[in-house]
Parts: sequence; C-alpha cells; structure tokens
Amino acid sequence: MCGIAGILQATPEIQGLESVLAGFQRALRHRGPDDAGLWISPSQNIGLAHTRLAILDLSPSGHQPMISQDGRYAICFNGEIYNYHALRSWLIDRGHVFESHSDTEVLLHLYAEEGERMVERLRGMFAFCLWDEAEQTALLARDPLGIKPLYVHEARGRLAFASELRALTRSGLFKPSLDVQAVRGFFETGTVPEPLTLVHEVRMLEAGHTLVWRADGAKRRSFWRLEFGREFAGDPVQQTREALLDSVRHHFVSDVPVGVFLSGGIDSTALLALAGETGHRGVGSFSITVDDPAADEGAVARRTAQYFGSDHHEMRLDAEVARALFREFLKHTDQPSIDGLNTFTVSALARQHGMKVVLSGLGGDELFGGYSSFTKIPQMLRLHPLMSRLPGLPTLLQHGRPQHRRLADYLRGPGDVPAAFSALRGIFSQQEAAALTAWLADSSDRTDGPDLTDQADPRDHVSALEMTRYMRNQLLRDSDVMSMAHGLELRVPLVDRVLVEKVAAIPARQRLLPNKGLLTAAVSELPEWVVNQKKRGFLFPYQQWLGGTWGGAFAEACAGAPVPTQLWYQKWSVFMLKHSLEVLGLRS
Amino acid sequence: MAEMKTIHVWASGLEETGGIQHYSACCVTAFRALFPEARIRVFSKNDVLGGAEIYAFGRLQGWQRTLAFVGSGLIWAVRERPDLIFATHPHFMKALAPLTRLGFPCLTAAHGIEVWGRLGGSMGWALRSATGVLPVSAFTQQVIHREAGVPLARMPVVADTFQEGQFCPGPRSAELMRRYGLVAGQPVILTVGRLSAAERYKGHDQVLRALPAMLKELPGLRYLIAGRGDDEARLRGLAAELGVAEHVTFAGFVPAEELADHYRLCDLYVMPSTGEGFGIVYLEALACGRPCLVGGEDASPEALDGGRLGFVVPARDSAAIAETVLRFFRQQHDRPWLHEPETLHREVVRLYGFAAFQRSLARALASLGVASADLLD
Repeated sequence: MCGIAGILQATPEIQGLESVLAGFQRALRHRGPDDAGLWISPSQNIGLAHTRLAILDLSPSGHQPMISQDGRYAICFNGEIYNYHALRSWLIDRGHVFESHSDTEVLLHLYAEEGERMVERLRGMFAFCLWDEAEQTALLARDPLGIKPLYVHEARGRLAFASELRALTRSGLFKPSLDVQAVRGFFETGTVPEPLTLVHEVRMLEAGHTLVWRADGAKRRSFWRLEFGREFAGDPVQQTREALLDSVRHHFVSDVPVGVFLSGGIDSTALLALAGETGHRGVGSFSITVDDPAADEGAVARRTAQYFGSDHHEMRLDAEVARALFREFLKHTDQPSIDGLNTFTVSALARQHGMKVVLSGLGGDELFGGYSSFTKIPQMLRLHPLMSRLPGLPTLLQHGRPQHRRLADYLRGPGDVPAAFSALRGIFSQQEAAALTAWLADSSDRTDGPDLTDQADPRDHVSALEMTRYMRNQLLRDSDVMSMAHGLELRVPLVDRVLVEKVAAIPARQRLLPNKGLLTAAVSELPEWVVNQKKRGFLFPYQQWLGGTWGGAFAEACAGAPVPTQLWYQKWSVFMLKHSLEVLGLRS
Repeated sequence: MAEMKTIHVWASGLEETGGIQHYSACCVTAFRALFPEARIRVFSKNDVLGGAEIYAFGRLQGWQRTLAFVGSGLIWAVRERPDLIFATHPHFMKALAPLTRLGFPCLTAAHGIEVWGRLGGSMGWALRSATGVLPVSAFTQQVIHREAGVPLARMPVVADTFQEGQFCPGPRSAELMRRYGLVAGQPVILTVGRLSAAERYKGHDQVLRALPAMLKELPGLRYLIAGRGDDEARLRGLAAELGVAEHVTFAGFVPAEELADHYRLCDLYVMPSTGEGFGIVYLEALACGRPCLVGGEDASPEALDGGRLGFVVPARDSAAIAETVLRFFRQQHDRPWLHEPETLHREVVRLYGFAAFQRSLARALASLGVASADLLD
C-alpha cells in the first residue's frame, strides 16, 4: 500500500522531470512513510515515483519503482495482491526466477508472461503503472471494484497519474479548472461521481479498467463487470460461508499484524468471527464510542470483542475531541465527501496501537442487502405510476422537507431504479443542486451518471448502484484517503472480486434477505445481540454536533446559499466543497 | 434454548500426559465451569482409576475394553437422554452415529493426523453424521470439509490448549548448559519431537541442511534436537555428511519435568514441520518465551496466531529457513516482541490458555445451537 505517480510523454518535453517527480513524492509522502523512490527511463520521457508503506517483504528488495532483472519493465504499484503466492509458484513453474518475496515483482513477471490480460488473474486491490521499455508501452490498471484510486491527466500526448488528486493539481503540469458537472454531481449525491473529479483536466481511471498508453494515443478497456445470477442449484449458505472464509484467509496475507475495525454491527463482527475460524485469534479490534446513546455502538462492540477474545481498544469521542480531529481531517481531504471522519478517527486509533493493516466490514450492506434502499426502492417503483399521476403532488412536495423535494424529482422523472436511488440517497434535489452549482461555479451544466445495465430484478439493480456509486464514490474513496492519511492499510474482505462473483451468482431472492439473512446464516458464530440489534450505521451524531459547538464555521459557509440547508449533511457538503475548492486551487 | 442438565463425555483418557488426554481433561473442566448445574458423566476408555461419575475401562484388555466402554456409554445415553454427548476423539463418533439419528446431540473433537487421509470410509461417514465437529485448527477443518464433505458451518474451530502451569519464561538451567556444553550467550535453536523413520515430517532434515549457511554468520550456533526414535542414526549421519556434527546435539528423550528448561535453553524454536494438526509444542515454546519458526504447509502457523508470534517459511526450503533464522538473530524484522519472553508468554496464554479454550468451546456450542451465547456473560 503506497502512493504512486508518474509522467508518460512521447518526447522528453518537461524540463526538470526529476523535480516534478520529487514533487509528487512530497505530495504522497503520508501514504508511504517507509521508503520512497523514483525512476526515469533512459530516453528521459517516462518517470515513475513511489512512496512505500511496507506490508509484504519488508526488506529493501521490495523497493519501488521496481525494475525487472533484464531492465525491460518498470512498475510503480499501490495495493496488495492477495493471491500472489499462487501466481508466484505458477510463474516459477514456467521458469521465472524471483529476486524478492514481494507481490510487486510478481506483477512484473506476470506481465512478461500474459501482457495486458494479466489483470484478469489478480485478486486484490490495485492501481499501478507498468512501463515496457522494449514496446514503449505503459499499462495502467485499477482493481475491479475500485478500492484503490488512480487519477489521470491527459493532454497533448502526455499523461500524468497519481494516487491522489492534489498531487496532480500541485504539480504545475497544468492549470486546474473547476468541473461544473462534478460540482453538481457532488451536490446531488454527496460525492463526486466517478470518473469525474472536481478538476476538469483530471479523470479517475474507472474501476475494472486498463489504460494502455503509447506515444500515439491511449486506449481504455473494461476487464470486469458485475453480473448477478438468476438460478442457483447449490446451497447458498454453504457457498457464501466458503467464499467468506476464503476471502478472509486471503486478506490476512501480511508480514505485519492485522487488526479489525469493530463497529458492533454484523459485517465487522462477521470478520472477527471468521478471522478466528481461519486461525487468527489475537487480532486487535478498534472501536469509536460517541456521546450519543442513539448512535453509540461501543457497548455492543466491547461485548463482542470479549466474546471473541480480541485485543480491544476504543476511543471516546465527544463534540470537542471530534472538532480537534476534524481540523486534521480537513488537511487530508482530497476530494470532498459527506463522510470519512469516522474512518479517519478509527485509523488514528489503530495506528496509535502500532497497526499497519486493518480489516473493515465495508461492503456487506451492498452485497447482502443491508440498506433500507433494498426495500424502499421496490416500493417507490410500485408507487410511481399512481403517485406521478396525482395532479399537483410534485408541486406540493416541492414545498416540503428536503427528502420530499427529492421525492418530487423522482415523481417528475421516468420512475426507474437510478432515479429512485438518487431521490433516496441524494443530498439536494436537482433544482437545488443546479442552484448551488451556479452559486459556486457560475454555471449549471447537467451531469449523467455512469452507465449501468438494467437488471431483471430491481433489487439487483439497487445492489449494483450501491456498489458502483455509494460504495465506490464515497465509502471506498474516503477509506483510502483517510486510512492512508495515517499510513494505515485498510483492507475490505467483503469487497473481494472472487467473493462478489460467488455471492452475486446467488439470485436476489436468496441473497438479499431481510437483515442480511444470508450473511448471518453463513456466519453462524454471530451472537444474537449483534444479529438482532437495530441498525445504526457507523455514524457520528453530526446533527447534534453541527447544531452545537461546531455550528459557526458551517453556518458561515452556508451563508447566502440560494437554497435551504437545514440538514447536517447539506451544511457539511457546502462546507466541504468550499474547502476543496481552496485546497485544489480552484477558488476564483 | 433448553437448559443443559446432563452431559456425557467420551474420552480416550484423562490421566496420562499426552495432548489428547490434556484436551479431554480441559473439556471436562470447561463443561463443569460453563454448566455448574449440569451432571457430567465421563466414560474414559484408557484410564484405570475412575472416580465420581468417571467410568474407567483401562483395566480391561483389547476388544473387551472397547466393548465395555462403548456399551456402557450407549446404555447410559439411552437411559439418561443427555442434552449433549461429547467425544474427545473422532473414532468414538462411529459408535455414536446411530444416536444422532435418534436425535441425540453428539459432538466430536478432531485433532489432526488421526483424521487426515482417513476420511473416505467409516470415519468420514461418522463425522458427517455428527451434530457438530470441533476441529482444533482451521487446517484440519478444511481437510475434513474437503475430504469428508462436512459443511463448514457445522465445524467451528476450537483451538488446542496447553498446560499453562508447566511452561513460563525463566533463566537458562545451569545444569543443562553443563550437560550440553553450552556457554552463556551462545546462540541455540531447538526442535522437540519424535525421531521417527516412518514419519519424518518434523523438518529435522531441512534444518540440518540449513545449518552450513547459518554457521557462516553464526559460527557458535548450536542445534539441539530433543526426542528419540529410530531415525536418530540417519540424522546423525546426515549431520556428519554436511560437516556440522559438532554443532548438533542429540539430547535424547526429555522427561516432562525437564521440558520447559529445554525450551528456555534456546533462542528460537525451529520446527518446519509438514504434518502438524495444531502443534502444541509451539504453544509450550512460546509460553517459555521463545518464538518459533514453522512451515506453512500444515496447521503450524495457527499456533503462531497466523505467524504473528514467529516466522512462517516454506517448510521444504532450507535456504529460506537459514535466511529467516539469521534475520531473527540480526533482529532484522518488524516484530520486537519476538525478543520479549514475557510478551510472548502473555500472548500465548491470552490466545491459547485455558480461559481462551473455555471461551472458544462456549462459542462453538452457541454457534451449533447446543447452548446459548449468553454463557460467557
């Protein structure tokens, strides 16, 4: 897990390439405190930079950018390849000789063997750039579910990339300008929808895509797509349990101890239970407790930790402590989001206790149907034909609460799953988002979301949207930035390609059961007090905090806004966007 | 969940010092603590003494012993209809299988080599018919799942435990130092285990082959081999052939009362085995404050909490073994606690001591629906 960046150019146009790469390293230093390196090709047109957090093969032979023994290939890589042992053995059988025990070297050899198709064999989270000096070709790739980010800037035959947006905007390679579509997307959803970024000149390489770059152009290709099963002959519980154990086992591949973020909910408890089942009993578990009884999961997490015998640590957070952390959090924010402080806080706690790798239960709700969207959206689809025909109802709703205004949008629209999803998961209504965009960006362009194939079962479509929008654009992006802010590697065993493929093969009627019934049946170790508790989510009492001592800065940010901002996440989104505009040098 | 009123335990024995005997005794103690109101009857095949509600059959010989043990257990089961029958050895499950068909909840432990490779016939059938199987390691769990088709959900892992009272950190025994001609500060690595020509899975060969590379950097290194068996002569020959005989000491059989002192003699316990169902020796070495180097092909890494309490290497790779041992002595790794005996002792007691075993057993009973998860409150 690391920070990567680089420049690919047809001819060595950039003066002082080394100092640009050194600038990348400085911008990404927090992601990899253990080591740093840079590499420039003999013809001075290609440069790769790397900052390293050492997790596998702690010796200097894991240094990056890594160059193949024959000098033909160079790579900078961010992530972990969990099946690298198996790939390494396969490559050794085919005559490859290895100098290190790192997964990075496996990528070099695998590329030599398989070319671009190598990505289809990887199990893990990854973003990398691999340069082939003989073919004068670069392969950039990002993992299927979008766990690791990769930002790309292309202009005039030149390509620059980095793990964080800020590294590119501060490079001086281009003058960043605001992407108004991204701003509007942010106000509608609470996050900048991939592949857009707040910066018009930079795009995210889409999840599950490769980009092959040559001096004469770049070509993108999708190498994985999410598919849901319609018929399944086996035992869903057994298939799920085997897939879960397999994923957890793979996610423990590490040369340093691995911990677990324990929220007290089903997903993280399932990880703790399965860790014990795979022979990892002494893991550290980390929880945040808050001063709001309705949101606090501390007591449940404590009881669960005691039950499974984990080495439990917790941090008590009140409005004042959280406010101090929030200042630090702002320094590390890359793209704006309405979440992330919880991951930032619990990452700080884990790092204080010496952890370098932690597992998170992120992804369980998306895969096993834990969100209310799985029941509410089918209801909304059924009601749309009737409610959209009631004269005056949308206008009436338009004058109601924020949620009602988004429902009005839905009733005016086609009544499909994406529209229902936007209404349910949204932050502002479309009109409000347009007005806020015009206020801050002096424009009001319309954005289109990423294309998603319609699924036969609307719940599958909800699952696809949860995974490709909320989880990818918000949860995973925040998790990456906020854990790396502390030099901590966050792993997500429930967002594993192989697990997702095996579980998604089970039809929705058996997979998306109330209260994540398939997951709880597959992990029979889950105690009753975890399974039957009321869902709380992993959320701090922001409405209370922003209504109290935190209020000033947020009220100031929202002063003069053209639309009402009553709810905490509306205030938060305006504040965060303004902050990001400043950090990214986009403030006019 | 119904109250637990009667439990029957079928054990191979409680009186001797072996691993399965200790496991059986721990089960009985844990059941007594978890269900203080329950009547617990123990049917012990090989014990001689017996006692209050302990029925011992060790005075009988051969088939008579087996018949009396099984017959007695079955008669008591039908007469008393216990809420749980627990077999500490999977062979007993063959006799218990008919009872599960009649609705008796029957669980069995599964340790390792006694089931590996023997799951095709009646053993596989017996395990499939059990209400639940409690493997001592995830490795054994996977083997049973793969070879006998027992669903993973019916096999919660209850890790093995060790005799906490006998193993703790301490100074090196001056008497043993003299016996083996060791001097203060001399680097020592140790393997404890039977030297069996038929088995040869403990990894002695690979360690001997790794010695020349280790000696280049650590010329004073001594490899202590504790244990006896019919493979000793061959291993001595191999040591001589490799030119390392003067750095290898064959200590022979080590009595139980001297075992902890032997662990304390070494700096690193080295046993790249390929056939451990769990590896209680590793727990004993750790409890004496010594980290372990193990192989990655069997259940060994689990005793090291997935590798956290030592090193996991490819078991058959002598070069990797040598390199890892040297990294340990150079302190060229990220785990300072491997050089802190008290930390290792504390961790192994926390993870694999009796309290952890009892908690793990209670969790397994809860996940199988035999008892309530509130047991541990």
